[in-house]
Amino acid sequence: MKMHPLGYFIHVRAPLASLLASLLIIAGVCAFHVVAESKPSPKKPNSTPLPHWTRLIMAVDPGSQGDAWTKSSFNHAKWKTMKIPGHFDTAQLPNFDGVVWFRKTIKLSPEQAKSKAILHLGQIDDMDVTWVNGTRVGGYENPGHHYTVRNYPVPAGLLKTGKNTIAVRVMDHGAPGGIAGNPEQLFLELGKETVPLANLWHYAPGANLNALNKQAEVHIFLRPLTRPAKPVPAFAKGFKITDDQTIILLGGANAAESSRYGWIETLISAKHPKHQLSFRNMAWPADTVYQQQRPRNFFGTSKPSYGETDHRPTIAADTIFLWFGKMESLETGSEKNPASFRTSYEAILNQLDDYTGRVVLLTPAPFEDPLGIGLDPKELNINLAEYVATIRELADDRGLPVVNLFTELKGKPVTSDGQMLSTEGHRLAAEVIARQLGFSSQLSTGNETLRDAFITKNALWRQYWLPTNWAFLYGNRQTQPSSRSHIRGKPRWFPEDVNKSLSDLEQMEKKIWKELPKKETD
Amino acid sequence: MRRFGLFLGTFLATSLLTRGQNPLSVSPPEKNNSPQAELASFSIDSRLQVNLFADETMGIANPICFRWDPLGRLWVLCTWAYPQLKPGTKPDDKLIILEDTDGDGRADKSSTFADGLNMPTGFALGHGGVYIGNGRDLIHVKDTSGNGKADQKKILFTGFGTGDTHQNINSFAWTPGGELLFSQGLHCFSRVETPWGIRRLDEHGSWRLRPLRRQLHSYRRTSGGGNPWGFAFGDWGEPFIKSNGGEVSELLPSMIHTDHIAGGYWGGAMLIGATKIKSMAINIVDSPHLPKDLQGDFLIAGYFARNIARLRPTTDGAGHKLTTLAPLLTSSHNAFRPVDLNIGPDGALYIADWFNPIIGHYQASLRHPDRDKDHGRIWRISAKGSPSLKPPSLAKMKASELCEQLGSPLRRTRKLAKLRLMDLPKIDAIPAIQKWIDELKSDDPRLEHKLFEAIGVFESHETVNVSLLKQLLTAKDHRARAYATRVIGRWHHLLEDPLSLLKNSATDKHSRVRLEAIVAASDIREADSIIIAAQATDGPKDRFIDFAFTQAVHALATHWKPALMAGNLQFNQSSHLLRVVSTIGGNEVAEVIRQKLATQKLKPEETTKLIALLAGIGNSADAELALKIGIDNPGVLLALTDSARARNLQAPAGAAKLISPALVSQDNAIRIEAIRLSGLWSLNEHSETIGSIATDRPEKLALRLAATEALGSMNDPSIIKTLEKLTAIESPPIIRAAAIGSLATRDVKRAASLTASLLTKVEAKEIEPLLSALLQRTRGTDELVATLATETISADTAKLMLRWLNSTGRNEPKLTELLNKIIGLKVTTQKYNPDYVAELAKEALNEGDAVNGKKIFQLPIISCTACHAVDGIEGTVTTLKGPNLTALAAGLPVDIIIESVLWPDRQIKEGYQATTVLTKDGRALNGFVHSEDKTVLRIRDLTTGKIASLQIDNIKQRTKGVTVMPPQLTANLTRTELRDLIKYLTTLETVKEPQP
Repeated sequence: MKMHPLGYFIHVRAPLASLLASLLIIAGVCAFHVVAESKPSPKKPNSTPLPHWTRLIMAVDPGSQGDAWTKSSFNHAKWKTMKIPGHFDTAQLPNFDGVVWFRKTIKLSPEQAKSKAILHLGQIDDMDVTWVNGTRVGGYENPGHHYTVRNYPVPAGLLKTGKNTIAVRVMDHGAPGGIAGNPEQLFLELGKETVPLANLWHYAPGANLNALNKQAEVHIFLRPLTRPAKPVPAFAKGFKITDDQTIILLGGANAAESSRYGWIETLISAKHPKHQLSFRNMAWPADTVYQQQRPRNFFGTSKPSYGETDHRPTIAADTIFLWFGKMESLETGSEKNPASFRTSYEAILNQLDDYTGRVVLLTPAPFEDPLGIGLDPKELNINLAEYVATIRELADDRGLPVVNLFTELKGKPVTSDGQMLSTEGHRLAAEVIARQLGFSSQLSTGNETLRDAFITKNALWRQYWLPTNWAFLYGNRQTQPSSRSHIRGKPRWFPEDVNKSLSDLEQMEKKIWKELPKKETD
Repeated sequence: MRRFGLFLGTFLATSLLTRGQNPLSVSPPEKNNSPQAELASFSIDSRLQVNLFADETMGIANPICFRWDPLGRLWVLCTWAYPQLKPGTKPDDKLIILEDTDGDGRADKSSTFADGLNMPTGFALGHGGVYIGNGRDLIHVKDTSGNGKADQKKILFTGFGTGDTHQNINSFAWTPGGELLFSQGLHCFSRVETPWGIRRLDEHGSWRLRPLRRQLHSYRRTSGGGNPWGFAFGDWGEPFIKSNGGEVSELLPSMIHTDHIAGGYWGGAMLIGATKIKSMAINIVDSPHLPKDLQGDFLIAGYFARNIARLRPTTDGAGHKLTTLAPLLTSSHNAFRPVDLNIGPDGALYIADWFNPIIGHYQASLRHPDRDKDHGRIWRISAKGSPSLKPPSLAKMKASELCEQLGSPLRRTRKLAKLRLMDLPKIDAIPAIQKWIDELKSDDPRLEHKLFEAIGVFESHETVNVSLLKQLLTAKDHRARAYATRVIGRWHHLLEDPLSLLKNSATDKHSRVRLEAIVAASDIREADSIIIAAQATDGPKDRFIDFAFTQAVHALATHWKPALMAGNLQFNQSSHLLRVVSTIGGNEVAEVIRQKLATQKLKPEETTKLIALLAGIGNSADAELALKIGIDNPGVLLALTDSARARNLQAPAGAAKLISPALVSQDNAIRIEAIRLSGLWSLNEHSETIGSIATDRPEKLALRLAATEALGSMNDPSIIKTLEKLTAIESPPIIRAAAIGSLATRDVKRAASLTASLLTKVEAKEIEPLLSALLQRTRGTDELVATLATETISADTAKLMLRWLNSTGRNEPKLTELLNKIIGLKVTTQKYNPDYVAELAKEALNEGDAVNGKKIFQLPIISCTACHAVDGIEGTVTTLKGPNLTALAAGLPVDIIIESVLWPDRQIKEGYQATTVLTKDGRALNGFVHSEDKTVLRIRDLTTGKIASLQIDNIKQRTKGVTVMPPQLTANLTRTELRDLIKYLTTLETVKEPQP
């Protein structure tokens, strides 16, 4: 059994404070990964997002900077050799976790080279990618396959008479690792003939786990997220809600402020009354694709020196709305332009790939100067349009739904100061979102009550999500008497207080679900 | 309601104490919490009295701050949600209006203007409503229906930090130009989206909002002490900031936006004084109702010590300094927690009393049942027997009438009138204020102050008035020029050439104006702004200017660095460039220039510019390159000379050969620098050439002078003869003095003897340069005294020498004694004697004649005015060797004044301790340290008045702590004269601007 080294795979759906939690998590992770690997995701956008680990490996592993190590022409004569199969930790690489490259050269006769071939490598602990003569023949790039037996068909014409090279990039993300089946499982099947592959292979260690973990550091604002219990594939034909789920909103001040109005929640819920939808507005003022600031230890993953870790449960991300681009367009400096915006935005989308395939991109509302404070909306919007175009390109490339607020809200008075949406602006933005996602943008009379309920619920959410006095709650002033009871020996009252906001919120949410008219409002 | 009985209360008290809590911040509740019990606990100045203005019966509790409106109503912000909202409760904090309708000094009407607030920590009235800091949000609420209750709420900005709610945005205050200042504390990390981009502020610091532009600026670490709380402005808009520790800081130099923190983690602020223990908020007293001696004092709410603290300001260079006086009021009631204070319409002082036995946010549970949520009080402190003021009815006034009120002698009236003018529509306010200033009389004694108030009205409407700005920039009063300089920074984006407007401010004779120039230049994010900032640092050492300059260099770095590296930045003096690159970036800039010179094809004039720059900041290898490429360019050679002198740039190998062509150049500017460099680098190969230039009569005087000076640092036996020849009476006086100086470095005894004989022959005006040249060298004074013991000089010559000596501020007891003897004066040195002081003090106060004293003050022989300035006395120095005495008596009692005059060593004002430095190469300097870094000490030499840069490793001996005031200055005065002088000095009180 494998412990996952990275904390952010932890999945807790309900508030758990029990010691049993960690056991459940491990069970959950394993169960999940066993079923997770099926055929590659059906979504076929212009560029396929790389699986999580592969992306990290590509970033730091010396053998993955280009394809030299996979090719026949590469000379591995100076590499050391290792007896295969077996765990490399117990052989030449004690306690090594990370990437190890293995290469073997075999000679084939002209007949052999023509045969229909299947490469058998037995079990590989944990992941691998395998190449024959520089061409990828197979691989398992996500965790959970340390018991999967590798059988990779070799495409016809790939094998040659004479020297042929097999290259295997093994990735071990914890505990023993390697090509670790039985010797008889390692062979090249050539029609009815077999060429045994056990015994000595050349090897070279690549990126170690520390380097990979460093690369894997999740964007701080995604730390409160966790993977849903079941994998969430991408939208097949546009935005659709087909089950109960949690919907997350990420972005800056306008996204955060939308929770004061409840329009988005109301419109989506009214359209999907049969599903229990939990909205979690995780946006934060001044979050940009470049930078997201959180208080120290905010959903922290390790215990800080100054007190306890943030105990609040992480949130399963089923559907994620991203609303970025406006403040970024005002950033100046050599590193701030549409190209760097794209790079930073992509890095976020890449990380989100590990959580869910259901991601929706929103473009920002245009600038205006309703107060006459001296802005130049024309210039600002010409500039902003480049960022909007970038968002649309990203959505196209990845096959993600996009809501174009920029175009739809142009020319309408929607902001209070040129940048912040006004009350009316929030309503109009929610309508555009509903319309472009393919459902009604109109509110019926009964829905005003629903919106009021959301406004109340969202106020509870903000108390929970952005608690005041953070320094004493989970920040570096936990040791002060402030967050403790005035009676000695009693526990800290503050975490309990904050958790109460969450349970109140969940109560409220249940009430909303119960009272939703079970007929779609159109 | 109290939930604990006496027993538990006692137990708590004990347990809290044993946990090491400070009983000043956390203590068990008193038994009697009635207003009467609290009132009985006050002890106060006998001339004053306290009464209760309002308490919890008027609906207030936990009043966090208050503000007066133009109607004379008191707006009080109260929070019950503080310090942490209970889950399941709706926040309902309130802004309450209190009125005293019958004028009996007690509120009799209370109404709620705004409710449903969530832990608001500050507010300001303005723009037809109220700005409120409401947790993460800055909101503006308004009563649009006129029923006295807010019915409109707008969120202007969100994203202010709330990591520790007692540090949320607070202390809202309008600047004289209609900008809203507020602050945040240590655990606040604010990220605010504005239409102009994201504005960030980490930890403690202050914000400035220009409301009509929705523009925010942030400044880090403005207050010292971690948590700023409280602003105050002087009569000319000088900003001060209070921390809720003890500190009071000069805000101006901190108002430069940069991430850099000057002075380390707890640095960033310019502290000017402090209360003994934590306190908050400031009011600078300006009320004729209150006693005269309180006027201008800083009153501070001592929430920890349960007092109203009192500090007195005096100027201190470009800034101020505070002296702590006895508190105005103290209380023994442990729930008395003054948190805000302000002068009311009647002229009385009002105090917001948070009323809580627990004041600490850290020190006790935020849910501690003893945190009082039921009480809150407003106290009124009035003067016994003094009539209440009758405030003008500002609320009913038209724009033109409000403008008239800007001429009021009362700061509070002017402030409220301006607030109303800010609130009026621009089409009403601007024509009215323009008309008002157009009609002001040119002989109006308050003209400049009125113009200062008027420009603030223009600012508050974001309306530029260039002619008014220019008029203020050339005002007589430096405070008017200083404020106008700030406005250049504010309006820079609307002015045609703001940097050229700043030029005069940067060279202003008053350091406060120069300080403003640095701050304003930092607002103009352009490369050339650094030239202005560097220019403004010329002048006596000043900690406020040094601080602001460091911040400006950092703030503007992204602009000046690239320009400098491209060779596109021309400083007025190479020392300015050095000041910049020695703050940051010197090596970086030098490296880029080297690369450029080595790799790029440059036009000759570009190469020359870059090589001159490199000569100014580079090393010896760079100097070699500079001599090779730039030997025919005076700018390059000048940069090398400055570098050799100021930062001890060593001669490169082969320097003598490289420099040779320059010594015979056709261009005298080149020759002069080559001569100087040869001297600075002791290039003995050239001593003969330089010796012949020095003695060659047809040569230009400047060349001969440079050569004579250079000889002093060359090592060739023939030089002594040459120098002796140059001291002959036939030589021009300036050459003679230089020759004495150079000779003194080689043979000080000979130089002293030649000087002594010259003194009897030369004209009176030549005595000064001769003495100055000799006395700057090690043992120069000693040798002169030895020589004069045998050589005879006339009493008149001795008098001239003594006068010069006194005017320099040099303390030379042996020489003074000798000269006094020659003159025939008998000096008896009085030993310090407190009885004598007391006697003299009494005599001075009772019988002294200040008019005569002023005459004595100006007598040349005692030379007071050579070093001390007094505003209004013509001809007093601008480059101060001694403290400005204008407000002497406001800060010092008479006995200290007497001590300072008779025994100057006993009472040296901070910053006026002279340093004496002896260098390894034989110089003797006496003066004030200008600045110092790892390698260089810059000292303003008292003898020459110039700044000398000394390499730290060239310093042999350094003595600090002597006063520069000669001890026997007054020894020749008669008892009557002395008495009158002291009397005069005691009349020098704080000079308030003349009232109309």
